[in-house]
Amino acid sequence: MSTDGGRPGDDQKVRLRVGELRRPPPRDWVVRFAFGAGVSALAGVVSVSAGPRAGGLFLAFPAILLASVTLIAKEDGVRQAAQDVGGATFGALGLIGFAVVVTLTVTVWPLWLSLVIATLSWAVLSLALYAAVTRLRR
Amino acid sequence: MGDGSDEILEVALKALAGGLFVLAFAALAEMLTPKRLAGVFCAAPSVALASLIVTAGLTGVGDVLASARGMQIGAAAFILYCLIAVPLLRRWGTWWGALAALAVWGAAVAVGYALAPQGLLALRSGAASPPALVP
Repeated sequence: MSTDGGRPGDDQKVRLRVGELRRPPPRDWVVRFAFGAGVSALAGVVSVSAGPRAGGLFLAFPAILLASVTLIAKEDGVRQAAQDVGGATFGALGLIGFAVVVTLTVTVWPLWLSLVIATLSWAVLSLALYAAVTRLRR
Repeated sequence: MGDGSDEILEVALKALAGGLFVLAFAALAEMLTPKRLAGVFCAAPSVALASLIVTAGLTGVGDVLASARGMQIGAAAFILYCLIAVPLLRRWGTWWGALAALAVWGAAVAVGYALAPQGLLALRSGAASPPALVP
């Protein structure tokens, strides 16, 4: 089921396991919240002081990945952390799609619709690339 | 108001919303297997969604558009971060590898902002203009 050096359930089948939420200690959730709040505050400060375009740079700041990588490296080793970074590459490609969709639609469509379509674009792009690369590697 | 309280409120709201959105996406990532797929959610638009919603509510859609243009450059630099982080993590370990990759992200963003201040789409149309330091 799991690959060498991988975490439980690390096979190729996509699954959603609610029980996994109990795995990380509470401290990990606090760290993630703190990183999210910190990056958002940083983007807010830059936006207020240097303009929204400069602040926008930090909407794709890799702090969450940084937090995740350091936590995973501590619990599961550097190899597993590197695997998470590999997965994040697809998410980062999707982030470009998200930003482009918002740029093209936010002045034309209602905000909620623009953000929903942008988020769906991120998910479809990221997961489709993930699936394509996984299939090529088999 | 002009006494800075609006700005403080904006930053505080973005921080709170950003923390909550990150927790939501992190929970989804935690539940997902395989874990390589969960890594995708480390680059989820959680901070972007939170920040853009607060921006729209406080300062309007024009600032959302400007933020999204900046985000295009940040996201392109994020890809570079991911590509360079794996060999750096293996070579220098977790902290030094991740920090070195972060420095590369910072350099890429600075170069990208200087070359394409209007975002990546402007490169295609050749409409790039010098970066504005004020909204």
